[in-house]
Amino acid sequence: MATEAPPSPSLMTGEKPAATMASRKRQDSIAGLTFVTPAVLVLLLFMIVPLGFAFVISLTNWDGITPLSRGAISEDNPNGAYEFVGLQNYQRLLIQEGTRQRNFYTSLKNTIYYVLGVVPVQTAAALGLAVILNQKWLKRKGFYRTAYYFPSITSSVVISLIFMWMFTTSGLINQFIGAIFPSYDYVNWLNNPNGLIHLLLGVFGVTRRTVGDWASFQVASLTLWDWISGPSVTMFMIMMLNVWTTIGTMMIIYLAALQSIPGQVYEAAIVDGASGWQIFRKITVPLLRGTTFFVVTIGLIGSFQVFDQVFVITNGGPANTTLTIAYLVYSSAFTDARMGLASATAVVLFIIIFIFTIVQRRLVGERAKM
Amino acid sequence: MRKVSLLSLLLLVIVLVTASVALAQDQVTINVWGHGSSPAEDEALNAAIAAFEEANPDVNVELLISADYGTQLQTAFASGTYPQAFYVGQSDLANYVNAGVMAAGDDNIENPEGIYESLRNTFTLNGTLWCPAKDFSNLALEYNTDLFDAAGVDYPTADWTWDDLRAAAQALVDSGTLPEGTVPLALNAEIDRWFAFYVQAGGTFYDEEGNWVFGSEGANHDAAVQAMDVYINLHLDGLSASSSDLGQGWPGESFGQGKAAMTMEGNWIIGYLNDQFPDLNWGAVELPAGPAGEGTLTFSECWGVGAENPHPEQTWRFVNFLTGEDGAMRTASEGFGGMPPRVAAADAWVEAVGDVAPAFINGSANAVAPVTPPGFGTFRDELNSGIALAFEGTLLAEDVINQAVAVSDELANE
Repeated sequence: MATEAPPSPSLMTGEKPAATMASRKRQDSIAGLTFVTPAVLVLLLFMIVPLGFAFVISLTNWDGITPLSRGAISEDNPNGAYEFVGLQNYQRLLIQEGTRQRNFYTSLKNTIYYVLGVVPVQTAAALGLAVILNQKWLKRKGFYRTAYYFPSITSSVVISLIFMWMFTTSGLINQFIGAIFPSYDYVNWLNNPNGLIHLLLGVFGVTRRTVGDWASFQVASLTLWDWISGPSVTMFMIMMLNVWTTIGTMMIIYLAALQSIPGQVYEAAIVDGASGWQIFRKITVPLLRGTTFFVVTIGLIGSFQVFDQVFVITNGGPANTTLTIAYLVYSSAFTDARMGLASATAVVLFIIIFIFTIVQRRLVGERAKM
Repeated sequence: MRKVSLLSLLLLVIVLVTASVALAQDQVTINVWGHGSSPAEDEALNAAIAAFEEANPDVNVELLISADYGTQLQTAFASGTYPQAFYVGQSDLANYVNAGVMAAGDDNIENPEGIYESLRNTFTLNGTLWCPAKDFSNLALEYNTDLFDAAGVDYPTADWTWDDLRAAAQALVDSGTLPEGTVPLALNAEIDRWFAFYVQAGGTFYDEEGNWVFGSEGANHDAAVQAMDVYINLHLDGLSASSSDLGQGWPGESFGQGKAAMTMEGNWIIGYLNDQFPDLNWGAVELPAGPAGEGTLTFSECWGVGAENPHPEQTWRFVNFLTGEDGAMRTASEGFGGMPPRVAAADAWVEAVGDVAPAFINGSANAVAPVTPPGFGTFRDELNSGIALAFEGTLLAEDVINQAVAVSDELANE
């Protein structure tokens, strides 16, 4: 996904008067190649080869257990490990109505709600925090920076466990809310499949029964009513957890970028009589566009691949509302012994991330080249 | 004199060196994989291995305990280089057998008739007994004697039926003596508890030929709906609650904290309660009987032996050492972890564990392992989430079963 940076312009431009220049250029490119070779080899061995391998597996019905060395199943080799089934796995996931399709689109729905919730919030909050922590009047900056960065460097499993303790029915969060509002009916955050949009509609008296027949219309094995559920309460908790843990990393990136904006720009703006908000809107945000592109991109990729928190906290439950695509890949591969299907899911996830990144690059990235 | 002793010393050294070299040449190493259990169990396994090595100097056992056991073992199978002996969970058996990575146990298991019939059935597939059970657990009904005494309700007995369970749960509520936030029963929205009701209602998972027949037309379907109805209504009527609603990680913890007067857990709860809640007064009886009689669920693991194995004889010797009569007696006398897999060791286990033990081990007579066919993870998810939704009141018992049957039919034809 990450494209190689183009060679520095200073090597490309300039006059080319004589043969010495050409040989110099060749030497440069040999040196360059030598330097990138280790990185390229590592990339090939650990990224490109497994990617290709996963794609090949996705065309088979391999169970993920039978030793691959037994080869393909044929008449001479009935005990082989796999059979090529063409695009059958993709068809089951994407097109053929049934359980596999429903699981996939449920996980897609959950993941998209997750991404839509997490990426904007974490980006905006990280920018806000970074701007505040960059103010000259703020004392004890080191303390705040450490405090905000701390969740990012802690193991996600540990953080998930701490969140589980905080959010259990008798946990800290409920006790805290209960102390402020004595009539508060304790919410079971960890086991609540109700969708937020459904709950919101319910406040206005709109439920599955009153909403009309269109809600039962099925698109890709899910009813329209299910599609508009929003993230479940439990998923919302996982979203908060992830915003909290990633915000520190994003904040550090923004801080670094903020400190590279020359002070004269701000001084000029102040001389021109710009207000604080105008400075932020017209100077800080535009100058940070390249950083924003980077932050949103890694945020998108990370969010689409959310797995650890689901694995530790919910295992995809309650009622599949925290089933994410990455978790579906894991469970097909290791609890369902359907490695072919799992690989197909992984390839589809790769394509989705690829598309989102390109779209996002078009939206933010083009304007970032300034 | 001195010269002689020097010479004999030299001779002795030579003899010793050649002997040890010869021994070392004959010695084979078998790789054994397991997952971590409690520290006490890990220690007991190491001690058993040491005893085996002492009795069999020609075999060296390399034990690998791993945390992410299932994933690691599956990857090892896929790569073609896997251990000679390994734990096999009852739900993984079919996967491993179909993949051809397990050696058949029929002629290699020492005195298979000594193993509980329910366990032999669990590890028999396509008419072959694949592996001897390592140990096992059965579900029983645990009850908090203090809460029963306070409410003046009689303790559960082994001849209880579903109706008695409901009546006692209702009596506990009506007595008004249950502390705030305490429910009569802790039961989760999990198929592995509901299945017990299904068995008690006369449902089966597999027919005589070993075909998966869950929820098909007729008796099985009715049993499934009936069991689901009872299970859901306990929840909807406020007689049972899930552990997460009560604020704990699992029903055993709810029971230990006194948040539930009863629960249905396996014998893993004994060590847990003794360890974490030593002051809790509790007893255990067999699960209540349903319309079709007694029934409970069994959970076990066996010692599988690898198919592509350079030392089959030594490996089976090792597995038989752990799971034979002597091995079962050793498991029994430890009194923690699972129950010994052999009938002959039952009394020793009961003696080591105490009063609550018979409730668990007596269930073996009508115990079934809740094993679903390979690739049925989605089916389990479907039932789990169906029960969860039924607990919320959005699905009826009939709907939950019909949806699960639809998924089951689809997966069976995949």
